[in-house]
Amino acid sequence: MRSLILLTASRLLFPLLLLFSAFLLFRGHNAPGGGFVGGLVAAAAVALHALAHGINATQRMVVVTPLKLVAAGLGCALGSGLFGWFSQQPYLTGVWVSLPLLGKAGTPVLFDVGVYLLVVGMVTHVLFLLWEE
Amino acid sequence: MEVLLAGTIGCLYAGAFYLMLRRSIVKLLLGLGLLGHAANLLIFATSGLIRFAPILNESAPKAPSEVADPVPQALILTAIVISFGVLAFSVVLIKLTAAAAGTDDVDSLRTSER
Amino acid sequence: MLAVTVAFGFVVALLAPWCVRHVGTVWGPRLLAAYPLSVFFLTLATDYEPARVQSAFDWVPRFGLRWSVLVDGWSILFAALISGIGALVVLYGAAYLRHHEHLGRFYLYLIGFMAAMLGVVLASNLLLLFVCWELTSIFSYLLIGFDHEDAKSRKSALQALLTTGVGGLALVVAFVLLRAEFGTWELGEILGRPFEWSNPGLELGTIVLLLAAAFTKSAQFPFHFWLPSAMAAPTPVSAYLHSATMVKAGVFLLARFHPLFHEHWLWQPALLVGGGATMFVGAALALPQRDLKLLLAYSTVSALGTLVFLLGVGNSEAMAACVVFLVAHALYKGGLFFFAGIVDHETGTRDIEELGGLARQWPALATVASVLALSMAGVMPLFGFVAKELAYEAVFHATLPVALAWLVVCSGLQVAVAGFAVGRPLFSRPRATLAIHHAPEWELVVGPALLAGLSVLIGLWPAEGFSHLLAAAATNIAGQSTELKLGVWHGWTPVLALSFGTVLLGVVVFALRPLWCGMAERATGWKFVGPASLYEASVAGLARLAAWQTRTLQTGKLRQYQVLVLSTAVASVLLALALTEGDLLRFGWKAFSPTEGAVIVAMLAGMAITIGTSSRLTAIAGLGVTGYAVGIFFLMFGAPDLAMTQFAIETLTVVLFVLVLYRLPRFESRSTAATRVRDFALATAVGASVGILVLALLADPTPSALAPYFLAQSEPAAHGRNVVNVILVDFRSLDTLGEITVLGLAAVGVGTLMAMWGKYR
Repeated sequence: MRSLILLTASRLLFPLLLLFSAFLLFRGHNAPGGGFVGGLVAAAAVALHALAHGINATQRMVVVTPLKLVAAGLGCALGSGLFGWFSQQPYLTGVWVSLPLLGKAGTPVLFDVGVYLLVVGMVTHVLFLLWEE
Repeated sequence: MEVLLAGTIGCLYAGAFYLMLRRSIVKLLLGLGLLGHAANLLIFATSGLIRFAPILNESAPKAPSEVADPVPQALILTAIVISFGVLAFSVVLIKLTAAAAGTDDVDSLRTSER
Repeated sequence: MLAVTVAFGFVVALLAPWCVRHVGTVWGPRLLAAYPLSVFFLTLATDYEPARVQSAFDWVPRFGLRWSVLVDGWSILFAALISGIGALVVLYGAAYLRHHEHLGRFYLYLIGFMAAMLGVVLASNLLLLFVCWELTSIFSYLLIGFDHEDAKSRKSALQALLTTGVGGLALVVAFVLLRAEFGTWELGEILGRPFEWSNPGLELGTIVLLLAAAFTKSAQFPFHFWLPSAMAAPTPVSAYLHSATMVKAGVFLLARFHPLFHEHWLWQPALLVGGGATMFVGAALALPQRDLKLLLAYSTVSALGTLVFLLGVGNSEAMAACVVFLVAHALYKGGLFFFAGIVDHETGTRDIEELGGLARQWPALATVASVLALSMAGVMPLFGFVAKELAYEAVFHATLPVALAWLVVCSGLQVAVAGFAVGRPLFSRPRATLAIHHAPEWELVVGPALLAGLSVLIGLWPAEGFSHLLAAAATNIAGQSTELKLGVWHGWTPVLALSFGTVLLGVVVFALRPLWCGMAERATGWKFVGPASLYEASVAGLARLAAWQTRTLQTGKLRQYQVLVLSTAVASVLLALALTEGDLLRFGWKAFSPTEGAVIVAMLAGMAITIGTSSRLTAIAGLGVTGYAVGIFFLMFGAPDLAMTQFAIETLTVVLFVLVLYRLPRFESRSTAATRVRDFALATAVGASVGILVLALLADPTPSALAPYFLAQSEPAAHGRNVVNVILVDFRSLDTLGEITVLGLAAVGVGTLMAMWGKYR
């Protein structure tokens, strides 16, 4: 089912969608978006790539196996809670610091990144497994 | 709008359960998907229908009662994603079950209970 | 101190198997006997006057559960009995079960029981008392079923557990009622003050429940049947639990609450009648028994009846008699069970028709057993005689002539039972068929010998301190100061004549044994009317009911489960509607825009396609249409986050389905038209109920109580303006953590299933 239109569109759209997903992730705290939506969009980008280039090409391109992404995401989310814990507050309490250039950064953003990674990993893992059939 | 929405949710529930009561295991799965939509809408409706999103820009209304309730939204958001996970799992499970039992008739899948 | 002793007992119990394994089967039990022995001396050294509550530590403070003990004459007397006889049982058990492979387990149960029983009699906290009460039932279950490979043994254990377990339930409710009325869990505070019940019904309920608990535990008629069955336990256990201690817990409890309830119209008549009935039924059923242990078990039932009967007589003399009889019975009956165990152990049989002439073989044991039996028969000058004299006197002074006659008759039957149990095996002509394996070891004989010695000593020279303890106990349970004079000779009184009459009656009954056996044989056909058969029938009925409901409800068919669940849901909504007062469905016909209408039409159209089509691809497309329409709906009503998520998920769902579509089974039409109609009707009913629910909800929308807080704190506390996202990653991030864990597990699960797929391909 390889088609030229899909191939061209995918070349253009794949990086754009990934960028868009990251944008959604980081703006999610103040506007519609967030880790769940961002992760789903990124996974959709991977699916599009697989549709256009075939699953084998996609699997070669993805350097990190999806299950590792799941683990990394869970680790990120779990780890983000430790900051609050170490500063004598309940586990998962948000901690914010002001950074030069970047503005404010806080552990909830790290948590959201964890959600993002986990969702990407989960969806691509399932898609890859079913695609291999 | 209220009556319309209530009727719609009722119809979705009825359709979902009708599908789930079929003997084909795939229809059971489709019914589950439909039930997910219906349940999400039901939770969504509980807090009333308000058009302003709970995003606190300068243009947002100040009174809490004029902004949509964020709590059910947070519940539904995770529910949507989780239902995808469950769906993926069930699809594979059903495929496996149908292959192992040699049938997709729900009524004949009862060996594990005895 | 005593509270800690109880807790320590459970630790000792847990160490018992280790002790037996590593210290050995000879010295291990002797080491374990140190626990009851030290408790025994501790109780002797404890000052029990005046009554007081000692608190050791809080166990579950939130429920008011404390390790607190009530120290008074009554509890100390019981604790001394439990620990003293307990020490003898531990030593006796070692010789009796020396080569048993589960000796360690036996001591775990036995010492655990001992600690629990001490807890029952010492506890001041009602919850602690209840916990220990149930523990005694459980340990009794384990000990009766100790020979767990024998089906009869298991059945007897279950019977005892169920019967006493029902009583335990009654007890906990009674305690809760007491707590509600008195505002405290402490027995010491409840008993220590005069009290008016706020509600006579409450008082009556508490009394009935307490009676139920005590009657089941102490095997009172009509719950007496479990005690003879409990003889399946090893004999040391029968001696300890089922004659000297556990079965007396019911009597203990009744006596404990006697000061509180003795003026109630129900209390004394119930005890008098219940105890009197038990006293006679036990003694009468004992007469035709051939099994030595069953004989003793039925006579124990009768003795327990006598104790309850004396409580029912109710004057302070009867209380004193009850206390004295309790101790006398524990001494002689414990000893007689030891004797039964020795006979069984050394000859291999307990059938009194097969036993005979043992006195010539074992003269020492014969002396000991005869003393015990004579004490049981109430022959001068033994302790049993003293106890019986006091009982006769109390009933005589209470001017209850019928009760007195009844007591004399039952005592006469007991004399005959003592004769059957000891006289026949020892002194009837020797049987050639009887094989005597070996002479009893000293460890087996020392227990009964000690108890027999005490029966003689107390009868002839009652110690001052001992009388004082008994008097204090009687004072505690009578609720008034009670005098007690132990002594063999009271002068030429009518009561003395009754005592002689009793022994004469016993001799006559003894001589008429063939008559009783014949009567029992003729009565076997009537067994089905007894309480034991009632128990059997109810247990069997329960099992049949469970089997029936499992067959009916648990068919293993998913669709039947669904029908059941959905019908229940619809019925409950209808019920709620019928019960709700006022206008539930006051909704306004708010207008809707054409766009909104179109979205809803799309939702329903997608659903209709999914249901109606026979193509899998079309069905999935229909589901997708519904999903996208729901997303648009979210977008229109202030939920952009939901809308975006929904769109992304729908897209991925379609991809997912397309990937596996051609591997999924095709749709086939299987249901009959009638089934379709039924399903359609059911589904419509569910839909209608949900629709009504939604209308009710929309008529009275309840925004979550948390929403204002989240909306107000989102920016200042969490530095985010998208409140939904802030809830997900900050306010309720622990929930989200759980949810993404589920997602991760789903991914792993899919991987595992796919790995299994290889097997079926």
